[in-house]
Amino acid sequence: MADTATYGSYGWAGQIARVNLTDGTISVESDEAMQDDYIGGMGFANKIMYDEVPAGTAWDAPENKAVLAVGPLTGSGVPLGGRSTWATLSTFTTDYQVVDCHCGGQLGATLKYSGHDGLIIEGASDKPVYILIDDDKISIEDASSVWGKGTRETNEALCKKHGFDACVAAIGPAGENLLPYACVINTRSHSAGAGLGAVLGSKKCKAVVVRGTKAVNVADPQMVSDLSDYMIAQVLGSNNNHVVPSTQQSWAEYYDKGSRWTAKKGLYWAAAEGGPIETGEPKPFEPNTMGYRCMKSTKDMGPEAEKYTVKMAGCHGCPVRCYSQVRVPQVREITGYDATGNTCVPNFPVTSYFCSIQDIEGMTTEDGTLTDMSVVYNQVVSATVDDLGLWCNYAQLYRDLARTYKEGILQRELGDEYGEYDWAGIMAGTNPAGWVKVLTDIAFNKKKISLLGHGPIVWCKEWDDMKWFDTTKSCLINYRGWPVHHAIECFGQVGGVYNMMFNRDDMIHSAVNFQGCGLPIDLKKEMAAEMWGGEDAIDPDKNYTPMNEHKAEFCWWSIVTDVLHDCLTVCNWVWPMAMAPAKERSYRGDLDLEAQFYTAVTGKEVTIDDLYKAAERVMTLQRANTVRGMKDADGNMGCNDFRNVHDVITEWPFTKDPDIEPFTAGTDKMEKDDFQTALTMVYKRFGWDEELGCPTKQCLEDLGMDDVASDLEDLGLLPDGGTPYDERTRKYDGILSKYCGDNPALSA
Amino acid sequence: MNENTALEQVGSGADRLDAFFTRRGFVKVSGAFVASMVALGLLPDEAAAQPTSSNGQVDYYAAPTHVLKVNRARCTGCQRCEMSCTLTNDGVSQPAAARIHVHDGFQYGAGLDTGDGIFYSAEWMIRQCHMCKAAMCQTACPHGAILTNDNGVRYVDADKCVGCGTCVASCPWNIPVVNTVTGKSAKCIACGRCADQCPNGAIELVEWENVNHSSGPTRTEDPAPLVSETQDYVGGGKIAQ
Repeated sequence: MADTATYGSYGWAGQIARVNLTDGTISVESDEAMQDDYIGGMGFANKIMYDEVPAGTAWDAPENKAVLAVGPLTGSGVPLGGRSTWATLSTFTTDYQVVDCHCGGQLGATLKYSGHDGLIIEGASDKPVYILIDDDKISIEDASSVWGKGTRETNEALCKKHGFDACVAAIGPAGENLLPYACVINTRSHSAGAGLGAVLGSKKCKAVVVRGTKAVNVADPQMVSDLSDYMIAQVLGSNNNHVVPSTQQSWAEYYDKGSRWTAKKGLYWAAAEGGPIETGEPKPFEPNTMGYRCMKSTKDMGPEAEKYTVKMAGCHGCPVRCYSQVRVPQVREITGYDATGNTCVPNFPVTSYFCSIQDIEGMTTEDGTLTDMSVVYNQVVSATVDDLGLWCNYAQLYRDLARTYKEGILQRELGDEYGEYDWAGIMAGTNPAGWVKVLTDIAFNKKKISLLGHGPIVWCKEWDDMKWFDTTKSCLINYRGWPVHHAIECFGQVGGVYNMMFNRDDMIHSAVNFQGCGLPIDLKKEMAAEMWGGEDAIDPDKNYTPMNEHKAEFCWWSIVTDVLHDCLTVCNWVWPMAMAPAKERSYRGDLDLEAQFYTAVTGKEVTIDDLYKAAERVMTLQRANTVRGMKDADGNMGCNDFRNVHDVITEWPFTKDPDIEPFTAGTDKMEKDDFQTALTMVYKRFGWDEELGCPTKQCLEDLGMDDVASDLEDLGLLPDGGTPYDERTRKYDGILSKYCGDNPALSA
Repeated sequence: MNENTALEQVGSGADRLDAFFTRRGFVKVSGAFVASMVALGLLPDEAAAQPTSSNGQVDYYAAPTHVLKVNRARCTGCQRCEMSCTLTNDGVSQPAAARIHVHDGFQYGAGLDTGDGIFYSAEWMIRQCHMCKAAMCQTACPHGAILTNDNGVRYVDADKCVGCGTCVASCPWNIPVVNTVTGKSAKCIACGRCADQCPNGAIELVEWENVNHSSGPTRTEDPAPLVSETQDYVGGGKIAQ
């Protein structure tokens, strides 16, 4: 244990920087008062947004803020603790309410090492600037030399100036030109989306540059090390915490072809320096092969990507290396950019999303295998959008492009500009470079095609295609403008309901990780009974049963674990540890690890139930914030009828598969009354009003948020009622401990 | 296999100790003897710069028992080695004070001219202590703060260290770092914790050997033109516009 006099407090840096771009003032302030209740990350950022940005603020007004925050576990050595989160006002969903913009890369850890838990950017500059944080020194610098540049060049130029160990989080032309689909890119291709780039653009803030040489002080470093060793050896799986390999392997009892544990004999990082490196058969209890488990390039881009694969990489502090690093000569020729790759949509935007609606010739062979040209198509788009700082609304941009092309909407609406794009070459599979102009024109927000970058609530209305929302292939799940992020196809009502919760796509992976982990359904049902109270918490894929209380519990747990991870900040793309690859522990995970790490890092004794409660507080706070700013059917601001105004699922989940009834094998179709029941039960689990879905007086008081209760009461938007905390809460502390005999915290 | 070109600048005088001292060998010699050996070209110049003890005698140990060996092609840049190092040795997570260095090369390798880093070759240089037989960090320390333990490992005595940075400057690879928080230097003691935590087995703690040329190239064979020097456009617009 290192002394606090030298290294400062445990876990948190203890302070947040505030930079006002209107008057140039820079200050730091303590975050101690928020730590216990709001943890950090998403909790801090949402608390600041609630307290400081009044309802009704426009996203591009100087009064809007962009708040970056990390949590006590960020950069502490806890596995997967490299994430960070921003909160600001949405630029692309109805009523422009508060959204979270999570990202990985190096930004979060570097910010923490600079001695800050957060950065509040407020006001607006009248000339291009960037914010420089170099440990304690914070300044506003002239960005005129990099304004107009892509994120790659900006990164390089600012690293030349401030050091190659500096992390640059920059906007590209999309943000500068206030395109609602603009993101902030750090570390080449790690994106904080949801329009954050446009918010920074409206403030003329080109970048945040951070250098950090300080320490995250840790109360019990030996326990952090021991817990890490235990977790990596036997609890942690691959990307999305998939815990079985994708192919039959000698060591593994199960395998599942959908698994992201894609390493296998004969599969190589074929472009590795000095010769190919085989991914092989990495096993549990082999901490030094963990980083080979997830071969994401061929998983996403098909077998032809193998020869371009240099290695995998990913976020700071994560042993699950899920991020493709490929060098494709044709991509370099077209874009000028060398290494590319991602782990999410920008790794396979064309083949998985565009082509789900509009075919492109030559992307697959006759048997459906992705071709070499498909790799080029995907990576040209990947390199281009990251450089432009162009966000895709979780692939909606690619689906919308395909829709508007296929239906002739582009031809009808673009006029003469339609002919400026080589649609024929793109669709013939012969002109990957054709994407560059399409995407660049969207990013620059001047040509007509850029309307697609304003989101479906804008373009569907302007171009008279509102029926797109009710079309299954659109994947649009909510009329307020966001698509599915593991929705009804993921445990039916569970995924469907949590897709309604936020003001953008949910980014919840707790449930989909369990769905795709590769264990057999019977075993998963046993595990579901232990974790959420009944085997009927889960259904097999496309073979659903009506809503029940255990599904509500599972849905609640999926939401609070996601929010918790975004507060701590650890990666919800892999956490929580609900299952494990080790047969020796009957494949059970360890749900207490977040709390044990929290205690080891901060020195504060907590249980997982305490942390779930804090996450519930953060979720409820965001809902309360939305109550203040959401407009009712008559357009009046201030509305608490989430059920009828906000949590409205689109029509296609009820109308798809017309020949099959809901709750029969072969469909993930929903049933309307049942979905309303599902909402009611999840609202109840949160202590919210069971009819409206908004926070109640009881629930806010249970969570210690009397100030918020008072605000909503003044607005006449606070119902009484709500189930008291003790009556609705299930205890999770130690729930899997009988499987966790090797957990060092239990024997300490 | 590529030659490690960055090492050419390094005087390899340390290697000449081989003829005189066996590994883990140990002698106490006078400063005058050291000076004469330097004059004969048998010891590096740095050896004569400062005695490591104040009584005019110099402690020479040959190599320690172990050394870290790295393979950059296997490194995936997670930087768990840096965090693990400092958790074990300092009780905090502080990559900038780690005894192994990944984070400063992750983006652009050893420098923009190398064609390395995640923006270019997706390879980057990892720098680790070579456990030199004649440790220039030790011989250069003006305060005699770098001592040798029974395993032949040089370590920093924090009570003696004043954080002047001479060890950093004298190390051919700039491996020691002066911690910005404590103002004290730190160097690798071959504890192996970084290797334990490497998810790709890119770091190994091995029986001592000369690792000067073992860590792979320090630049890529086919560096791409620099984005900031060749492109004044965005999104690859050169082709499209």
